[in-house]
Amino acid sequence: MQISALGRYIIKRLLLLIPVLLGVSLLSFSLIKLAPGSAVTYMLGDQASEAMVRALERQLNLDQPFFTQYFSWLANALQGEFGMSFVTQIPITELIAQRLAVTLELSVIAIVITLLIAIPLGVAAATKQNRLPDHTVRFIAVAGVSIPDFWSGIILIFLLGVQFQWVAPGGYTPISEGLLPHLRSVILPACILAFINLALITRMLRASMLDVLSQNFIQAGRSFGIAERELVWRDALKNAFIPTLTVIGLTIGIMLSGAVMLETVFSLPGLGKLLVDAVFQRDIPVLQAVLTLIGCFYVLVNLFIDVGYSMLDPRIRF
Amino acid sequence: MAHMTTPDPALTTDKFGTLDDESRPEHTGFLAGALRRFRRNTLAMVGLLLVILLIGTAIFAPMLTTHDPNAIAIADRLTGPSATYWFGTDNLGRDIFSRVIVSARVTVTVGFGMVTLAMVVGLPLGAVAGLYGGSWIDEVIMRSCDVFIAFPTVILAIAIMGAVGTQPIDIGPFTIGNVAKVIVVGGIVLAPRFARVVRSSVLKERPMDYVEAARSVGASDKFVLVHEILPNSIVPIVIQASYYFATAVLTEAALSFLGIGVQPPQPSWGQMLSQSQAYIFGGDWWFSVFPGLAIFFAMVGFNLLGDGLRDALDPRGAR
Amino acid sequence: MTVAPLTPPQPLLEVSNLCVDFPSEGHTVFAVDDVSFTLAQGEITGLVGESGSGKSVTSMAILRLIQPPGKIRSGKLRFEGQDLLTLDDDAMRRVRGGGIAMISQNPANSLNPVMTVGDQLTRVIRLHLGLSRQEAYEEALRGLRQVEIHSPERRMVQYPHELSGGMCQRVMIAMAMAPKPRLIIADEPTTALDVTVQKQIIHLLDQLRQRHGVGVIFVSHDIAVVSQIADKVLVLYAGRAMEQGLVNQVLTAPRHPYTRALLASMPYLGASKLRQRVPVIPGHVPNPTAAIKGCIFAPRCAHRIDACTAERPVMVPVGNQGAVACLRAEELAEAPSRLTGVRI
Repeated sequence: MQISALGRYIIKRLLLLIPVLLGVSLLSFSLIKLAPGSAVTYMLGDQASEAMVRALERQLNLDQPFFTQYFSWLANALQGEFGMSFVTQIPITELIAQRLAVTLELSVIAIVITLLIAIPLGVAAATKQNRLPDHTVRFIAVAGVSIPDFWSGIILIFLLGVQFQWVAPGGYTPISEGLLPHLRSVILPACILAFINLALITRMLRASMLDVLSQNFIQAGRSFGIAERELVWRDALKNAFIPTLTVIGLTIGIMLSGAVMLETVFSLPGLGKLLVDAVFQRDIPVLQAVLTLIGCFYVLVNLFIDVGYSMLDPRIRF
Repeated sequence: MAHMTTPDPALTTDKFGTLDDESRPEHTGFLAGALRRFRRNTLAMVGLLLVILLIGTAIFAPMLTTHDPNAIAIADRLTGPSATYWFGTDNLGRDIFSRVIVSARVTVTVGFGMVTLAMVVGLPLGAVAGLYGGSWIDEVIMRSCDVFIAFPTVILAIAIMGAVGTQPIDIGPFTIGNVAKVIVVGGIVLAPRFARVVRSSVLKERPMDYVEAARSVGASDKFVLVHEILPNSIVPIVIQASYYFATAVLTEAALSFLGIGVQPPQPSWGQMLSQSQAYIFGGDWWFSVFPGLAIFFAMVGFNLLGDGLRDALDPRGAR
Repeated sequence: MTVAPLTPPQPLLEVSNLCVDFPSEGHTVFAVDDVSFTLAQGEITGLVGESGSGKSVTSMAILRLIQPPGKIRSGKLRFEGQDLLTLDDDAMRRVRGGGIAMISQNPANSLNPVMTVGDQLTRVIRLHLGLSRQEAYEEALRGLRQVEIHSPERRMVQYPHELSGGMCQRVMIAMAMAPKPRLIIADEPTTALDVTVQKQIIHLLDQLRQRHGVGVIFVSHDIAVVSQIADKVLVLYAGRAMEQGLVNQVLTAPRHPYTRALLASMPYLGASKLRQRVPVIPGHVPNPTAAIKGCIFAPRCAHRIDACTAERPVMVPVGNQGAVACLRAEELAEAPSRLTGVRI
């Protein structure tokens, strides 16, 4: 009964997303129209003759009307087929598959670090009498979103990578070459990503913990002899985490942007680096594919979080 | 949370609670209260100070520089901060202090440009969507905005700038330089977000009694929107604009850092950081530190200003 | 009205000279000041007073749940002969819910909104009775049936927001009763409910008392509600005890001017038929601080004499099990007719 209602809700939300997802793909695809001149000139170089350009355009369907091009691209994309990179001639799906893992790993480590610090910190800030003055916490939160990650990346590479040599000063070591070297290559960018949202989430959690702890059912729980620790960590935290979850959803976008910049600074072969490389090489099909993927990912993550929200909060049922 | 703030008599207005036509947010009582709250807020004042400092630097940049920001002095390349070169020199021996100072100009120009464009495009879109909330017009506008909002700002800006390229575009007698392109791209990216904020605050105002009253005496939709709803929904719009300045500064810096934003010889903070990156391994820290600090302080300024405005103008939404 | 059972040699609960302080901006509020009463097994005592009279603070103090910076300054709390104030935290926690259970004012907010009713019930049962999950589940079902909840299996998997207020209060009562406590503190258990549900809940409490012999402290601002259920009543005003005694004695022959005023402000109990408007007690409940010397009700009392403000009246025994803290109680009892009047 509940599951089917939730299932219906998810299906409804997915259906509502279809126009947005179509729009995302259309916007990503139309990048090709923004490029000055013909996209293929970058493949053939400036010296290519008009005839060669036309021939290649025909081969790539680029002589078709825009929407014909779009729909055939979309039809392929729906089957996971994004065509070939103009530059490397490697199937784009393959390129993305190689790069996705790095970005996902980076993001997951970052979220885990954020939560591992934010949850105890937020709970402590809400329960301990002796806490940092509010404006200090707020300043840290503002600093978190105000320090450009590509700058802190450079500075920390200098400090921790070059001066102290605790971590790799950039570059990627795959896990096949050992866990420790691998971690040394990803831990610093992951920590920087985590820091961006750490204070934001801590502050949100603290505020909602304070709110929940002042509610009646906590005092009622005490009057039933339930231990303080259980009331804080089980009763209050579960309630306080629900509004915090939406903030985490909002920060996913900040994290993705951060990943793009940090992969560039740290030379990590992730999706962000693929995007930036495609920009430099003017590899429009790769640009289209990566942008589509990021847009869809972001939209779906937020749907996922909304669904998680309604599963955690029994008061919301659809 | 709202209940933590002490209720202020100036705020028990139609905007924030009960319907009381006597005291609308634009009345002096509200503004005076907001101003008082803002001035008492240390962090907000710090934010305001930083923003004024940034704008002042941008305006008076030529008077503040100690060297020609583009003067190359290979003999003095990569020297640390000194009495001559306050922030040291870069890989071509240019004075980093002067370059940081003149870059404030491009930052402020791009910031104002992006936010203005975002407002010019986003405000009418959001206002119309809100006014016709629930209708097909609203649906079309907001779903289109959702498409743009589905991408993180910086990523969408990178992709569009990447596709457009850094070559100047000639349109008739005009040449669209890169600064203008960055402004247009940032404006396009921010406008839908802005529209969403405007729409939700218009939607909030629409069912208010004074709007009903204006309608009942025959005011047109346009009149109601321009004279009644927008002045009352200005608060969230102003707050959001301040945050978007921070986003604009970051977007410009990120684009320039990647080499697809402001192009040399025009210096910018992001571009300087990008140039400095290779030299950090040699220990030439000042090259990276000072442009980064400049971005940081500009962002802190706008973020604190935004927080301060929010706390002062909309205490219920604070914290 | 049930007749009060004979007081056994050892009372269930003995509150003596309880004082609870709340420091606030430069001065201390004596939220409960020298309050004493006893409660026998199976007995229901009503704690009556306006808001701010200290009745809720008294009940929280019995469970030692006064939130800092408030604290119990002095006094004795004996529950089944055990001194509650000297118990360590773990032992006190076992008393809470296990020996003394509390039903609070807002049933809807007293349950965790993100836990099912069943999870919350079985948690408390397992905590105090040390049962297995399955046994606790059975016990919870039994408890829900006892409070006349239909299809309890279904309720167990529901969340609090899916239940009505009355239903939530029944769940709270079931939760309070399940670990078999000897004392229940019901803090305005019916205030948030509508009148018919109120009657049902009161009836339920009365039944539970008769069936299980639990003692009940029934806290209410509404002396009419208290009169329906309580054996004894303790009238509090600004943290001090004004009058106590058997409920029918206090209701029919109130000794303290405050009790009389309180009764007079109850439309169905004391107001004269001739009077159209229900008299209100002029003034408001003061913040009880050290500065107040004499009788704390004196500023609002229609029968104040100079002596009232000079020294604090002590509780003087009157009649059968009664006591009153008024200098003029005896004198005023002579002419009861004059006393319904309230100084304007």
